[in-house]
Amino acid sequence: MASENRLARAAWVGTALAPALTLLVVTAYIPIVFALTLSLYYRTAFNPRLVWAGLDNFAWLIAQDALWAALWRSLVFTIGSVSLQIVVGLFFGLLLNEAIKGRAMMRSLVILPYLLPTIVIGLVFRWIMNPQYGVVNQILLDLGLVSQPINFFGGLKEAMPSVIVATAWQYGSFAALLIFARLQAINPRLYEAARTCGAGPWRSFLDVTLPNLRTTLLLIALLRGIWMFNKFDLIWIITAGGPLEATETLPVYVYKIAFQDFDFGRATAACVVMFLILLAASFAYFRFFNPTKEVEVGR
Amino acid sequence: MRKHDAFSRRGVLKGSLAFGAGLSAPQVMVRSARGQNAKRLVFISEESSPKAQAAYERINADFKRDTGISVTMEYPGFTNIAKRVATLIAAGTPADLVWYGAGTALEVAVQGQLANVDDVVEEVNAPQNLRLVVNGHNRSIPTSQQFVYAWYRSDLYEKAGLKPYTDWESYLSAVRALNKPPQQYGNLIPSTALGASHLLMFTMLQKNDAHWFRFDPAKKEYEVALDQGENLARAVETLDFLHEAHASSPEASNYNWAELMSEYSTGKLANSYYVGARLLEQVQTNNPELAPVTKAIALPTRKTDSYYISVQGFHIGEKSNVDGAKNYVRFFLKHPAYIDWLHSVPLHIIPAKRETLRSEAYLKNETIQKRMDVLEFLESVWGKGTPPYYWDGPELNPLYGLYTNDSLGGWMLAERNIRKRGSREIVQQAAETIRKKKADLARRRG
Amino acid sequence: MTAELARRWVRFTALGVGLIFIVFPLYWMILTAFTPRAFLFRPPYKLFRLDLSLENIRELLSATQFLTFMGNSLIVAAGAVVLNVVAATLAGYALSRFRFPLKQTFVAGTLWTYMFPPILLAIPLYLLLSGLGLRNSYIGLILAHVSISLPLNIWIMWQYFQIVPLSLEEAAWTSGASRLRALVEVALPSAFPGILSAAIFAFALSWNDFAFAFILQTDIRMFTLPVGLSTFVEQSAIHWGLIMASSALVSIPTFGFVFFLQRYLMSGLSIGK
Repeated sequence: MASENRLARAAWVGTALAPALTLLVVTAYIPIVFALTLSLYYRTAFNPRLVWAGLDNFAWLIAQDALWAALWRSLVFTIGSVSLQIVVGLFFGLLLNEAIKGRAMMRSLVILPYLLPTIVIGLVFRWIMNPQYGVVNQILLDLGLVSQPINFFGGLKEAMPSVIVATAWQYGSFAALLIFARLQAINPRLYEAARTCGAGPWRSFLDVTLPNLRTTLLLIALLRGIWMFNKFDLIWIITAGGPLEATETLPVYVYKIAFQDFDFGRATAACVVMFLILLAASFAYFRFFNPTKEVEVGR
Repeated sequence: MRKHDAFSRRGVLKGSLAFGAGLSAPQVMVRSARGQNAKRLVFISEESSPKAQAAYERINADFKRDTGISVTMEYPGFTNIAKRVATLIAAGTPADLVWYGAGTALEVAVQGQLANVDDVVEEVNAPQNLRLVVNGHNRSIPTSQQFVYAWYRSDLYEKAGLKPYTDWESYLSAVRALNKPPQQYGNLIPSTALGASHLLMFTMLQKNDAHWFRFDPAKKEYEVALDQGENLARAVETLDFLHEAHASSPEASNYNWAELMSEYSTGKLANSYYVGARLLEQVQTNNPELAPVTKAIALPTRKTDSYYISVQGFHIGEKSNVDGAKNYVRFFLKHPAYIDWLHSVPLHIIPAKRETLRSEAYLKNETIQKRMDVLEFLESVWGKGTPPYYWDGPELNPLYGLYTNDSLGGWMLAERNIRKRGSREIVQQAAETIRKKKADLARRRG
Repeated sequence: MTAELARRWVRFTALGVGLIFIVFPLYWMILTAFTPRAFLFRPPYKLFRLDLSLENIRELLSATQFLTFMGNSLIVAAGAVVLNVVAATLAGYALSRFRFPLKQTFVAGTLWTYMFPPILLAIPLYLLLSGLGLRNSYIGLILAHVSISLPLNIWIMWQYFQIVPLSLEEAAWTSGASRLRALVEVALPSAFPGILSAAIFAFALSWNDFAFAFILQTDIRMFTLPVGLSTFVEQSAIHWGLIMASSALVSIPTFGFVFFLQRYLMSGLSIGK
């Protein structure tokens, strides 16, 4: 815009960014820096004194078997949950893309799990999956599919998959939302072109739908991956990391250090470790996949 | 991407400013958050049932009228109250009054964060076995106690022609006889690193006279003794006993207090246990037919008939409005609503003093009158229990948190009943865990 | 055309089965909410029930502070949405229309804050807000919620403004409108679906939050729904009837809200080209 001079532009940038910047600094940056520095001190909840620890908290952490076990479980949980969410998202996104009666109602139902408070979801799942008085086991037993009730959230082998399914139930709808919206934006002429070239439904899915979905899927994987890696509340509400740490992912491990041992120095150190892992993973991710290309619109 | 931005002079300057701010922030926060008010009391209570809240409101209103001090209540809930107290101390704004378990308060007391309450404790003449003495002074004013005992279905026993159990052998034969899965289970043995499991394991260890620590008079401190000599044998015995009992129980690998009550209310359990009479109250509301045939009984004895006592009381924060808080406690214990407060869950919150239990005011309650058998049971076991921090010796054991905070007893049960490892190695590993934590603690304090 | 018909039927059935998995927990939650307490602990349960009862809802509304919790949650969520929308829209506009130094740093910085585990952000935030005297207040909790939703919302709005063609605004400029007017009258309406997504995202994060609300709100009168619900799960009892009743009351308005807005949501929710 030729009539705008540099001062006006600077004023614009400044005012436009000011609210976001202030909020971020006050609510995110300062607390994060504080937490990061806290990891270099011995700091338990009962003793407000700060004693310099250097890297001792980190040294202690790395020596703990529990940390590595929790890291492994975090990876299993993150990859399992995100994959399942993408599958659920594709399932509903694709199916709802067709013009079916009652589509609006169905779409609302699909989004609903995402908008429910986690505690509601956690408690509902505990209620329906209980081996003694839960309705799911009752149905399974009545239908003859199993002979003994399945201890979904209490079984050593069953707990992690069950928790993965629970988070996928909650967040799969978010993926479905994004995929559905993206599908709606695909130019229908592309499909026509594919059909005139003789492509069947599977072929056009591979050649038209998937490439267009690529960006969305990668973005979902990135965002959900970060969120699931840091996911704490649903796991805590349903299993509290149990049974016998079968579902103790890194966030649960950190929470226990912070609020059962009351050791904030070590807990923040563990958070730093998590943060660094995510940072490294994001860099690698951007390098390999390049999920977002900025479209240069401004000047 | 203009990477060199991050390393430009301005970037480095900004970075160090942020770092410096981060370093100084804790001190600034802690200092500015202080400043107590003599006309105000912050009172955090673990008990938050509507009836308890009503009692508090009455007492607080009268207290304000008499002294001009206003009391602000906070109800963080049972699972979170320790965290709330910790967070407040961390922020430099300790609560004036906290009503919760003395065992949890012990952690805080050992750090020097609780005020000396010798005067009030002597005034109200609190029973000796409920006191909490840290660094030479009382830190807790006990108001009530709860202990772990069992409940059983008298109708099921009658139908099977069984008499209520007394010792370990009779317990096992009773639960086996009454075990008809999946419609009915003999008992419930939660096996997970949570409170209900841990307290069960602890109480049974007490019944078998096994100890976690041993007081070394020479060093004047407690040493881990769980895997030594007689203790090891007894602990192994206890673990095996509970393993036998678990064969007549649902897997319960993630059960805590709530599930104990929910499960019993479904009518599928012949025996259960709880840390008090709330189980009875819940059964009364959820499945009233079962209430009359739900009877109280002590957990099976072996070498002793001791049991785990959980003491609750008032705790006053050091560097808070100490005098105001003390006056409040005196006022509270003399106020008629104190009895109403005890009645909020009748028979569950047991008064600290026997006189209160027998007093007319306390007995004037419909629920208690209907279940005088429970009261008689309480009388019959009065005084036989010990708080866990006095179990291992006459001196207070400040290290009791080392096995309580992560419910080590529950962990042992989980390893035995879910992962099915051997008892001996589990007990030894548990002892090692406690030793490691003790060493870690010493290293960081010293 | 029977192959086409068969395919439609297969799709329909697949969708139906999928929906059963999504809907069943919700169905059971609502059914339990209306089940008389006497039946709640007597398995086996009937899958359909005609003898419904309002007693759980009555107890919820009269004997608990559910309405207070609901009100608090709404106020905090509204505040979080307003702050998010204003800040993210302005920031997104600036990012997409201007080039300025440290732009990449700013963008990377917002993504990094998203990566920090929320559970531990709570402690420093608590100390900070205590120092400012904002503990146990609406503003404090709103700020905490903004901290977790703003980063992603900035990204969302930035992407949206990239899709809004500059030509629209240029047309407005050549007709003599100022940049501000062009923004308000041309760019914003086109980016409206993005704003809506940002609002829904901010709402969801605030509505769902437990950790911050628990640590920052200490008085039961200031609890939000998740923390309030957790008080129904005390040491001891799990009042399944009450919990399911409150869950149902929370879900039904959300469902209505989503049903009416999803048209707007769908019509432009495309990130990516």
